[in-house]
Order: sequence, then C-alpha cells, then structure tokens
Amino acid sequence: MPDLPPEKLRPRCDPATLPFRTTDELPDDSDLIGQDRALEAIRLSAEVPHRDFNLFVLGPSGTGRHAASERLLRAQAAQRALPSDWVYVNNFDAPHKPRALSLPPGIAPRLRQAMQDLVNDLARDLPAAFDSDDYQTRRRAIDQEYGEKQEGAMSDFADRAKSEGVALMRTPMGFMLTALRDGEVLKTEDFDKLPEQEQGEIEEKIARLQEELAEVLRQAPKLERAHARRIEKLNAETASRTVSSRIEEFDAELRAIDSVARHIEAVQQDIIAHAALFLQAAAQGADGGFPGPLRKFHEDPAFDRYAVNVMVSHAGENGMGAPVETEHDPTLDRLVGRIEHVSQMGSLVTNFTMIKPGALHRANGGFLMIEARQVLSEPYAWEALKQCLKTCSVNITSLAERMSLMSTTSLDPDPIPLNLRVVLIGDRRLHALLVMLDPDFADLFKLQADFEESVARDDDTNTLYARLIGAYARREGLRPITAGGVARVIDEAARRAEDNTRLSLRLGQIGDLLKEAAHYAGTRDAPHVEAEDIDRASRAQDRRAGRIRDRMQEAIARRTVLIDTGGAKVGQINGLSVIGLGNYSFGRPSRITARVRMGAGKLVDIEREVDLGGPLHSKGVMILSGYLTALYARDVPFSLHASLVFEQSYGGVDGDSASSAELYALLSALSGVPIDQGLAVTGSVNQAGEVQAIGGVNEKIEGFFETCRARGLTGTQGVLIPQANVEHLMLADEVVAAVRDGQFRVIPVAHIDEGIALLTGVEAGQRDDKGAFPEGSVNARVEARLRGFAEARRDFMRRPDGTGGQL
Amino acid sequence: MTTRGTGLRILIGAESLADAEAALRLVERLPDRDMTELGGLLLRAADIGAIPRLARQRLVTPGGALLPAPDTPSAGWPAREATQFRARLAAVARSRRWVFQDQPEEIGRIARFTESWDVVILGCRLLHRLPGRVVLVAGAGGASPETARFAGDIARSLGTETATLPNDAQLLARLARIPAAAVVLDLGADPLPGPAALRALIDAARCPVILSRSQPPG
Repeated sequence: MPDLPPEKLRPRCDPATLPFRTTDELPDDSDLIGQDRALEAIRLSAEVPHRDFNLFVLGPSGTGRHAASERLLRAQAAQRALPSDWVYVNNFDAPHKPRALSLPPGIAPRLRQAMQDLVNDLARDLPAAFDSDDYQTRRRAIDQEYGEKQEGAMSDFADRAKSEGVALMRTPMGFMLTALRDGEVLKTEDFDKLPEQEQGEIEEKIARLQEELAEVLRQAPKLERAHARRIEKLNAETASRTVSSRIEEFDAELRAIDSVARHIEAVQQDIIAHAALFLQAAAQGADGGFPGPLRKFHEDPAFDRYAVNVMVSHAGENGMGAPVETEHDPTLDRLVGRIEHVSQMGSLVTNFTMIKPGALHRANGGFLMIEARQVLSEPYAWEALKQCLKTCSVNITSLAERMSLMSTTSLDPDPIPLNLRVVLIGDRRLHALLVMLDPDFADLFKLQADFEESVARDDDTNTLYARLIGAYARREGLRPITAGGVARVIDEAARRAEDNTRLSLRLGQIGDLLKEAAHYAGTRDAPHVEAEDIDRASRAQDRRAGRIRDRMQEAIARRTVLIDTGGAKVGQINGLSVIGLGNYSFGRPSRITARVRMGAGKLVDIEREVDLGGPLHSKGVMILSGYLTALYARDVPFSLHASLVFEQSYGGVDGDSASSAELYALLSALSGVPIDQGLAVTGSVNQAGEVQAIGGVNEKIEGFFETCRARGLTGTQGVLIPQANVEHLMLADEVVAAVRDGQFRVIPVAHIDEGIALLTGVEAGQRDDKGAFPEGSVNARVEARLRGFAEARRDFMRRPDGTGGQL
Repeated sequence: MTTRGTGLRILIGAESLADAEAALRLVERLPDRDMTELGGLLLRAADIGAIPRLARQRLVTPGGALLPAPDTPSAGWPAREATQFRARLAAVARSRRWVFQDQPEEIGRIARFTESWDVVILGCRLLHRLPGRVVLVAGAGGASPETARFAGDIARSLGTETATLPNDAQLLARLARIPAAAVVLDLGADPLPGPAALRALIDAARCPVILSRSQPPG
C-alpha cells in the first residue's frame, strides 16, 4: 500500500468554492444544519396538543440545543393565545386553604389594584359612616333602650319592695333585703317584738322578693347580649350600606368574571363582619408621610385578608404569546413555588400573600426548559416535577413539609391546573439512565430530540455552515469573516468532527474559536477575521491545553520514556495511544514489547495481569491468540507462551487500538524478524487479520510526528494507520508539510500481512497450493517457530527420565 | 377645683374592692395631665348586723345567685381586699403621687376628705355592662364650668355623653331609672348630702358618685 499523498491528509475547504467574500454578504440565517431529526421532534412536542408529550433534548453540549429549542418553542408560543392569569385570594371560610382564581390574561394586576382601591376607600368611608350623626343617634337610642330596661327593672323592684315594706341593702358581697317600718330599717329587737304571724309574713315577703331580685339581676347578662346583637345588627347595616355602595362602583368588567364576582361577594360579607378593622386602622392616625385621603391603608397587614396575590400574569399584543421560561436553578422551591413565613412573637406564621410562584406557574400554558442534570440533582425537584406533570396541577409543598422537618402554621392552597410542555435538556447518557431507571420517565417524556454531533461535508453544507458562522458573528458582534477564514473554520470543524467528510456541529467550540480569532483580528486592526486569525486561535488553544503533552514529549526526548525512532528491533514496536484531558486530547507513542517461548498456548497480557488493562484491551489481546491459532501450525497443539506489555505504562490502558501493534510485535518475536522503529502503528485487528478503524487517528499521528521531529525527521519515519481511517484524517499543517517534503509518511494498511511487510521489509507470505508459506517469509518463520515449540513440547512430554510433565 | 394646668387630686373611697374597682376604671381612663395625686380610702359598709336574721333570708349576689346570709356580717374590709385595693391604686397612679389610708372610715366623715381633695369618687359596683351616660347633677344655679368640663372629660374617656339632672326632689327617682356610668355632684353648687342621703344617692345611681369641688381647697 503506497503512502498517502499530502492532499489526503488534510482535505481542505477551498475558499474559492464559497460564494461570498465575507460573511457580511450572507443572509442572516442562523437555522441549524444537519439537525432535522431533532428539530422535527421539538416542533412536534410544541404542536401536539396531547398531554405528556414532553420533550427530552439530548446530545452533546455546544450543539446549539438550547438556542434551537428556545427559538422553535418561542416561534410556536407566539402563535398560541396568552394563557390565563392566576391569583391566590383569601378563603374567608378556611384561611389555611387559599383560593386560586383563574382570570383572563393581563387582568390579575387590575384586580389587585381594584382591591387595594376598595380597601383604601372603605378605610376612609367606614369610619365616617360610624362617626355620622345618624349612626350615633341610633346607637345611643339602643344603648338607652337597653340601659333603661335594666335600670327600670331594678328601679321597679326597689319601688315594689319599698311599697311592701322591704328595704334593699347594698353590702360588699351583694344585696340583702330587710323589713322597713316607717321608712326606717327595722332593727332586730323591734322585729322580735312583732307578732309571730307578722314576722312570718315579713319573712315570706322577703323570701319572695329575694327571688324576684335575683331574677332581675339575672336578666342583666341577657339584656347585655340582646344589646350586643342589636348593636351588631346596627353596625352590620351601617357597614353594609357603605360597603355595598362602594362595591357598586367596583370595576364592572372584573365583576363580570364569575370567579371574581364570587370572591367580591365573600369580601363584602367579610368586610361587613370585620368593619372594626377599618375603624381601628383609621383610629391609628395618619402614620407616615401622607394625610388620610392619600394613606395607603392596603399596606397595613391587617388588610392582607383582602389582598390579591398575583401568581402569574401575562400581557401581550393581540392576546397572543404563550410563555417560554427557562429555569436555570431548578430547586424544588423555584420549580413549584414556595410558601414563605415571617416570625411573629417567636413563631413562624404565614398567609396566602406569602405564596410565591415557581417556574411551573410562570410557564403554565407554554413551555418550560430545564437542564436535566440540574433538576435531577436538586432534592425532591424531579419528584415534584413528575408529580405536577402526572396530576396536571401545581401543588406547592415545601421541602421542609415533604421531609416533615417543620411543624408550624402552613397553608394548603388550591392546586393550580397545569398545562405546559416541559423540555429537559441533557446528554445521551442521562437520557439512557432515565429510560432505564425511572419507570415514569418514558410515560411523561414521550419525545426525544437527539442532536447530531456532525453533519456530512459537501459544498452545500459548507455554504450553510458559512451562513451559520456569519449569523453567529453578527449575533456576537464579531468582525465579519472572510471566505478564507470561513474555509479555515470549516477545516477546523472537520478536524473536530474527527472526520474529513463531516463537520462538527458543536457550535459552542467553534464559536469560542471565532471569538478568539476575532480578538486577534482586532489586535492587528483588521476589518475582517482572516484565515490567519483562525489559525492563530487554533494554535493558541492547542498550546494552552498542551502542557501535559509537551511534558510527555520532553520525557521522550530526554529518554526518560524509552521510544526508538530509528533502527530495527525484534519483538518491539511503537504503539500509539490517545490521552484525553477533558475536552482536549493528544497522542503519544508507547513502546510495546512481546516475548515468546514454548508453553501451553497461553498469551499473557501483562497489563491485564496487574489490573492496568481495561476489558477492551484484553479483548484485543485475546483476538491475537485467535489469529495465531487459526493461521499457523494448525496441525499441532498451540504451544506458545507469550507475554505482551506496554512499557513504561503507569496508568490504565484500554481500547483495542493497539491490538495490531501487539500482533506485529508478536509476529516479530516469533519470526525473529526485526521491526523498523521509525514506524509507529495504530489500528485494531480482528481474528482474520483485517486492520480496523480506531479513534483519535489525527492525534496519534501527530504525537509520533512530534517525537520524530524532536529527534530529527529522517524521511523513513511514519505511521501505519487503518485504511478505514483515511477519511478521518485532518492532520496538522506541520505533518502535511513534512509529508509533502518527503520527511514523514502516513501509510494506510488493510491487513496485518501488509503491515508486517512494511514494518520488517520482509514479505508476510501467502500459503501456496500445498499450504506452505514461502520460505523466508514472516509467516513461514512464525509457523516454523510455533511448530518448533509444539515439537519441543512433545519431546519434553516424552522424556524417559521422567523430568517431563504437564505444561 | 384646681385649674387644668396643675391637675387634680383625686380620692377614691369604697366600701368594697368591687366598688373601688369601678372608681379606679374611671380614673385610669382620664388623661394623665388631669390628675396629680391619687388617694385611696376604705369606707365602712352599711351595718347589717343590726337587722333581723331570718331563716329564709339570703344574700343576693350581683350575678343573681342566692347565697346564705353571712353569719357574722362585718362592715370592715378584709385585709386581703384592702391590700389589693392599695396595689391597684398604686398601679393606676403610676408615676404620680398616691396615698392610701388603710383605716376604714365611716361615710359620715367623708366631708373631711371633700375639703382636702379636689375630687372624691365614691365607688359603686356596676350591676351590668350596658353603656350609660355621665350624669351631672346641677344645683339651682347649674353646675360650675369646671365641674361640667370634668364631667365631659369623663364622658369622653368612656365614649359616652353627659346628661344633666336638676338636684330636686325627683333626683333619686330619676337617677334610679337612668343608665349611668357615673354621677357627678358639684359641691360648689350644692352642699354635701348627709350620710343617709349620700347612701341613698349611691343606691339610686348604682354607679360611682363623683363629688367635685369647683374651687381649690383652701
């Protein structure tokens, strides 16, 4: 297989194919490209009227998930009618159960103001009514009527007793009756002189009159109660007249709403029953700056009972425009609302005016966007959200209540009916976990919008991509970008897609690159962002993130880490690995060695033996065993004992991308043919010896290139890559330049036989008609070695001195 | 009566704690500036020891209960109630000067006190909580402006109004039928009634009786 030509290593976007000079000429079209599948799902979720068609937007961050979702949802929301306003008002029958009222959109603040005006007016009108001559006269008449009833009864009794010759004596403990004679109290000695019959008559009289007096005195509380009722009735009549008169002036449009009319009726009854509140407020005087007529009585907490707590109100032109809310901090309270408390006399109290809305209230009738990870990490928030979606209502329950941590006055407000679409945004892993572990999830979130990470690259998409970049630059206030700059960005997008036939849709990363490039353009006072600015930004990003990479290359250069880039050695090869550090990754070479001897068919993966090898790596090594046993010396037992190791590997090794390198090392060790150390290898292998694609091909090639360049490029150095990875090449300009100059090689390989021949300079060899490999070929030598192991093993087992045994 | 600028010296005389309490409630509603000194005086109640004791005779409480008549009726004050009267008096006086005489006096000797105090209030328990007016008893020449103003102050403090009755033969009959919160007698216009007449006045009024001098004590 010939070396790859330079143009295959980095297929560039030709600025001449782009139909503009700068992005200023492009239409302001920021529609996402390549996300049709996801956008269709979002549209469906926004349009379908049925419940539970909530949406999970999944995909990697930086693909424009948020912006695209919000844009589509806003477009749909703009076509929807404004949803109802919601307010909480006092439940006069059960204050701990505030009533929720639904109002036409935009009406809630008007109702709140109307109620405040009502309170302010009545706080002036009611005291005036109770201070009026009319009221005072009627009140005095009642007082006098009942006072005279009681006093009259006492007076009548006193007169009657006196007429019967009995005196009423006041004592510290009460009253005593005694006989009178000639207007004077009869003394004991005079009484004793009276005839016995007369004494008896007097005693009889006194006994009877005592009973009458007791009855008169017992009437007092009854009269007091009757008096109180009359006064209450008078007060109610007075208040009723005043309140009714004022309520007739109440906003007729508001009163035409049934729920408001019912509430106003309840308010009217309550004000009449609690008119004293208004009299007390007026009696407190004009505290504060303004005199009576301007005093805001509704701010007095005593009048909270008549307040209107606006939970949500919507205003919009032509009555259109459903809400689209994004809750960035979806705690339980911020999601479903909360009930606040205030401390009064050492205890926590609350009322309906302290109910605060949550995101669900604000988004009701529209759309609510939430980061899935955040809502899942907030205590009880996810459970509460599901509960609200299941019941189609928002029920405010605090965290303390849910956990039974708080035993104080609380409220049980009317649940508010919920009709909204929740859009969760998260990654694919989270979506998969929710599907697997939460039985409610699939029922409640019936739709998924899966955002692509890349889009196929062709002239059309290049142009669309350019529009996207132009729109981004305009939106972010960046300098326009030249066609050359856009072409460079497109190349970078292909590099980040790890595929020269696709473009990365992680627009967040591309946007960051553009911003940095625009900054560099600004530092040189350029009107446009040029390719050189993009290039500089890309290199700067690479440099900032590349400290560990540089230290590793330095360790290789100083031979702290042993890597040969020249000469040839048996059983030793340069493998390539990728090290990922967050969103940055780089490649580095690793020495892989193989050692062989006669044994019982065991291939020892040293990495695995010491728990440094991951399962995929172990699988790759076991595939080698399958390859060897299937290809060589099939008529004798597999009598190899081989060990494979990543030298100087102190961390874990996983993935099977080094399995072809390991096989080459084994073949070299078995055949005794040395491997050219100027070459490095990447690629996995299957049991048939086919070399398969791997990830991070660009970083791996660049990693070995850096090592070779540090030692001096020889022109024979290079990297063997899987043929299938050729389409993924978007190598750095330095590598491409070196290849163009004949100083470095990138060689695609489809089969192990090709690779071993390139690495050793010896043909691998194919079996002839008789099944034998060509003499001197690598395969022939390997087979001979393995056969030799088998024979040695057989001889060992047959030793007559008994020193042989089970291997 | 002293001028308003210096405030009044007010003495409360009562035959029982309940009677004293009715008078104290009147006083504690007065504006602070209206009083400079408060006094407490225990009065002996009418002697019921001399009246015949009958088997079916009962004590009728203000609430209308019938209780056995006390075996050894006493016109004196129980020590505990006297102490409570004193404590309440001190509380109502607050930072003002106050005096308390713990030796009971006969109501017949009240003239001594009306001469040395601006106002003497003879307490009398109210038999009900129905509102009543402040009745100003005016002599032939009418009540003095100071006394009328004082009566008006009390009425305002009680949230009621004043009513004026002439001091004639029908006074007791009228008083007995009027719901009154207090009765004000102007000693500047009318002489202090004798003990029996004073008792009769209190019995008819069934409320505290205020004896007010329209001239400062000599």
